[in-house]
Amino acid sequence: MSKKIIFESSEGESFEVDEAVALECQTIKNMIEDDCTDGGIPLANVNSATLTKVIDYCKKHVEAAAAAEANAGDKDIYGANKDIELKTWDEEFVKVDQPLLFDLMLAANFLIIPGLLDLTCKTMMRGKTVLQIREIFHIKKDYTDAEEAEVRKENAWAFE
Amino acid sequence: MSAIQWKKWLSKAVGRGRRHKLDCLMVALEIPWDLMIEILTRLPAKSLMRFKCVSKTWSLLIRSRYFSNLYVTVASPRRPPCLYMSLMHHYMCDSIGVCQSPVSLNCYLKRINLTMQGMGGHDMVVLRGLILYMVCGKACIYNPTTRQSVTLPVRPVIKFSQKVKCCDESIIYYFGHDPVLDQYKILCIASTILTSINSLTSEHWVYVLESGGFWKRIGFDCQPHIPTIGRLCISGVIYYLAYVSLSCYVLVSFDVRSEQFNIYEITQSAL
Repeated sequence: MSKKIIFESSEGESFEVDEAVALECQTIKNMIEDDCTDGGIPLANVNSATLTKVIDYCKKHVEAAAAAEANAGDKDIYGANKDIELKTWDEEFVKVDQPLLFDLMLAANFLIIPGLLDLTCKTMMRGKTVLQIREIFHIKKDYTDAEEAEVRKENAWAFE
Repeated sequence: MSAIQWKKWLSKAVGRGRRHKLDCLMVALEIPWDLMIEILTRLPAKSLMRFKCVSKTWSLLIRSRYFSNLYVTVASPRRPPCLYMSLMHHYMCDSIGVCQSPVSLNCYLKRINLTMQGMGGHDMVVLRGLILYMVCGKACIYNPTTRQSVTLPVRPVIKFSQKVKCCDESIIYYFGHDPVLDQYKILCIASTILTSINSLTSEHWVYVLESGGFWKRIGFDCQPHIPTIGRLCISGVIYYLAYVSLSCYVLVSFDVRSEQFNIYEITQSAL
């Protein structure tokens, strides 16, 4: 029976996970190494809904890593796993609404889960136009139209 | 904007930035600056080039050296290596003279050998995502990420002596980065075998890659040598192989920051 780690969400709800799963989070890994995880880890800035998703993600990736180890030959020339199934799973995983995606990203940043941070960042920004970005992040346009056109011209290929 | 200026500006911006308050509205997001930078470093270059239009601050960030350095070092496993090749129309031109025909630079994924030995040519050096290459005797630097290129000014030519007939001049460019000052430098070595006196002479020039940069001739008091194009830059030092006579090779190091040369003898067995 592997060691269990208890997370506590901002609502005070407890989540019990295997140590291996918790180790996916660099922040928690440091805490485990420093042996200060007794009595649960309060995560005051992660709510239950987000935490559930984060744990799902970590579990899946721990399982996938274990499966990949079992058939270690299946790597591409860069040493990365050609795990198409996991990729598809990841894609499905981030099909959530914007606020939850945003929370997931904050949680990934806080808990330091590089894979999840990467995934959420890219999903959040993928295919967005300049206008959409301004809207999402409440950014005021401080260019004049002429200035914006100038910047646009500089990298016209990026708008194709 | 230098890395230091940027960091100062950044710490102010972060200090001012409130933690976001998330409500259920689709668009009510305020993000701390440090996380925004985290997000941006993970995006493909094409998106970044587009997002320069978002605001002046974003543009300033994306253009900054601070951000570029983060971008090349961020541990993002999902950025596949790319193969870039440039094809130039007038590749036979290897003179020092200025070529008037326009340069067209295209990126293709093609199997074609462009590394030509000898002068001018197409001899390419890759350093931290930048490519230094030669066209018409001029050094150009191409950034495949932003698809921008800069042509360096032509190095002043000093004729050794009008009376002495130069039989073979070799010009080789080296590309180095000094991690301490975060500075890129191009070293140019022009070496000539003077037939009448049967000896080697060489000129050494350095160009600091920044606005207002210029070619500066630097002193050289080591053993004269003919450099080869076998070269690389590791932690602020450029290394290259050179020969001092037909059968004798040396390893030369050039410290990018101090601009000092050092020569190391190589034993035959090491080759």
